Amino acid sequence: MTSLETLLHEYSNFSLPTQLRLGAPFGMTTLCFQNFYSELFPERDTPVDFHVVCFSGEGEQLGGTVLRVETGEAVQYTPDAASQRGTGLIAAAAIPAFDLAGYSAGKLKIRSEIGTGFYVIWDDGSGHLDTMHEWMAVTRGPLPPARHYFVFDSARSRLERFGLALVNPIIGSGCESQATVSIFNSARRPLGSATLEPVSSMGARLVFFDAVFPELGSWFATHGPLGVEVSGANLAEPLTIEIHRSGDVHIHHIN
Amino acid sequence: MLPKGLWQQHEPRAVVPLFGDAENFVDFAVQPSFAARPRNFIEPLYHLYQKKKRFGSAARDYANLVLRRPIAFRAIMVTRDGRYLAQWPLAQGLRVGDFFSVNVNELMAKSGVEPCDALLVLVASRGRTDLWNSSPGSANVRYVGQHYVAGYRTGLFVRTLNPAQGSRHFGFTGLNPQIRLGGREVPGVLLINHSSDPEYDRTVSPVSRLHRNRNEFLEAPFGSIPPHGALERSVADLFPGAAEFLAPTGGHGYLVTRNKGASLASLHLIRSRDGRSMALDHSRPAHTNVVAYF
Repeated sequence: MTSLETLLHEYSNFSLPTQLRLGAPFGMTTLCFQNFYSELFPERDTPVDFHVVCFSGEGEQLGGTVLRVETGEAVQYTPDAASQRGTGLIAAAAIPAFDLAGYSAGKLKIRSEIGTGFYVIWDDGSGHLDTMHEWMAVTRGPLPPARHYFVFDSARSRLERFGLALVNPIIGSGCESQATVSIFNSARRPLGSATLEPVSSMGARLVFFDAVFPELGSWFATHGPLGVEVSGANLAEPLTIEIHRSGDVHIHHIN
Repeated sequence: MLPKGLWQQHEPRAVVPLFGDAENFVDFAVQPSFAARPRNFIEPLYHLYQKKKRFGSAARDYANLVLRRPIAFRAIMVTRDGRYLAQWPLAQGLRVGDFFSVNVNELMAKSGVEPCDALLVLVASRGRTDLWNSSPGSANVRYVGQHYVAGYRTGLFVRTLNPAQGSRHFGFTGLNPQIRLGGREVPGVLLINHSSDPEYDRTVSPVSRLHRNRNEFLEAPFGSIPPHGALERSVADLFPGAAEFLAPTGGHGYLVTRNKGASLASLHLIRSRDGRSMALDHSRPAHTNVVAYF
């Protein structure tokens, strides 16, 4: 199993994008990747090694694998049961198994930090799916305080639960992240505020607002759509979670 | 072709689909990046010096900064075949932390427009001072059906896309590695033939290939997409023999869609056969992960 530190050290010019990994008992996550290097070098052989690492909610590495993805091919990878335990982060990087510098010399200017695009499919096991592209790359911290704003709309009460997937792909000592959530109406009248439990480095956690703000339902009824500010130090942008009264789930980034 | 002057070139825009079987919501919260910082006073001059921004655009940036103009939004509804239907103001006077959320179906009802699959062009009065005057945050579109919720967030930009005059875009390649058949999922793609110019008038005809590996694929025309229009096609609809074709790979495959001469916006959709779930997200260009264009 390749460790996170090894990946970051050996492939220091490659970023390591992450995504929320929904795991048992909440669901499962499948990572979908296409070896896009064949689009850049259509006449050449461009195999890559696709490194995937999974983390627990507390940031402990649960597993990791390396998949060879041949030129122009794609892979859909669902981590094994041990790596799907609980909800946490999943990170992946496609490392060229060919001479990228040589192929691109005189033709393309290569980024100083090379990224990897992929998609995830989240499946709650009951037929409810959602999807998103890769998200925040692993970053060395600590990071200064940040704020993000977003909107929750109950869609005339069709949406039943709201929350955040707090993710912390920030590594380094003292890189625990702690978020404060404040809710307000469209006139900016504050309705409630709470500081959430910290999330450890490379950890992730789902937080549902009805557990934090028992008055949430009445706020929607009184004020309509609600604004949310999430702020804190070492705060990687969280994902929003909305759950339909049918159980269907929607998870997405804010910006 | 849309009416001339439907939006101004300096107004940041994004186009998103509307679905006739859902209530369609749009919201936006203004992020802290809207607040002017010292670097914002340098950016327009820098882009002007680099000849990446015109004088008028840079001057408008400075006017926005000095006058601390808030941001306003409006929406233009367009049919999936690219015809103008209606437009509405959404919000105005927004500053950092302010937000709006609207139910587009309610706007449609007030204008006498029946729910239908369509497109919504979101237009902002201004953006930030970066090269493309990007919006301070992303617009959120939320689709709420009887049994599902789906959506995505995307930014608004001032960027030349498929101009009506001048040289054509080199083209579009969409990679979708999320194809899974044989279960309860119905994967598909929605392509939008967008443009920064209301007078854009080119119909496109992309071609899709469904691969089970690099060398074995099925090919089919995606279908014609009129200017400012969009088309959603499921993989099963595009390739009636897809399930049998992908059987050797457990129903897994990937879709590559290409179009010459025009850039397209692309969404990956995953619907459930029983209508109990829908998922979608915009695709992301892969090459920008590797190539330093700027």
